[in-house]
Amino acid sequence: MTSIDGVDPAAADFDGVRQVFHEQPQNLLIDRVSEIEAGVRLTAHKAVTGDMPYPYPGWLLLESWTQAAAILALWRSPGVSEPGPRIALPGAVYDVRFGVPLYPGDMVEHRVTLLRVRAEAVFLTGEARTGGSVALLVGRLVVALRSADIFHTAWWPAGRRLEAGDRAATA
Amino acid sequence: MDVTAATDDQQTATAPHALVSPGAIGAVLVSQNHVTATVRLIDDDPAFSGPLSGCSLLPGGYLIEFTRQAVQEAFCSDRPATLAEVESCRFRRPVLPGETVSIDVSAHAHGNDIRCRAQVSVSGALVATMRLRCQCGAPS
Repeated sequence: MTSIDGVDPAAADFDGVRQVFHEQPQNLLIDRVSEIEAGVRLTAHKAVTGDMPYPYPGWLLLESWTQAAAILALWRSPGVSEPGPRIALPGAVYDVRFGVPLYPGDMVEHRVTLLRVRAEAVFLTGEARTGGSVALLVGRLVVALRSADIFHTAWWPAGRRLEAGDRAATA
Repeated sequence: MDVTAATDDQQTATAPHALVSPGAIGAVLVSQNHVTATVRLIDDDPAFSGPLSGCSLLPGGYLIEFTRQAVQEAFCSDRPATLAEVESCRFRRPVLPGETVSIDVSAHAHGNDIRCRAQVSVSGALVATMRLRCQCGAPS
């Protein structure tokens, strides 16, 4: 497993994005990261292809944007000093609205802005656009950064909550 | 849309899960403006090959999609339900392979708009709560 710090920011193409997520290609919903300012903002891209249902489902668009947001959250976020491999667990999302529908051939540009970091909860906002039109607005996403090792156990105790995410969501 | 007229009788149906493996079949039970559905997630479902560093956790978007599908099956007849808004969604605990997800939705219709509150649980433990707005019919 590779730390996020092992990714060269200048090579955040498809392979670079896969390296961030250790991702199976069929579930990777980001093609390329074109711009990233650590702890501040990110621009990522996704091509809508004909091998997916269309209009492109809203939940997949939100999932794609969330993956872009996770890249920014994991990218040497200020205030987060825990070493080693980490994952970004979505804890809550608010005020999401869907705009123009997406069809094969559309190029989606994800724009993500990091609002703040509190403990290990990262607050993000942004949008997805295609051809100058808004396809998605995300008011606020809260992700909790965790060591990847905590999930490498046989089971997750029933009722256990994502503590940092819960604290952030009620802030 | 008249939800009451469409859901007078309790009924069972099979919800489509085109993006989940065929093993995950949802049974939908409708009563008035209330719908419950279950989704059984098989151990090797590709949905678990998500962006979480090799950890087998279900991406939260699937829970939103399951809820949308339950709303579509219960309230939109043969028309698709388009996800228009996620007012809020909070994830309380991860969903793991082999677990059966239960979705409990209360919905209110205003024309083609369906506003709903949903609780998602596994074995009685709450995993997510959400407020959504769906629209019956294809997007313009």
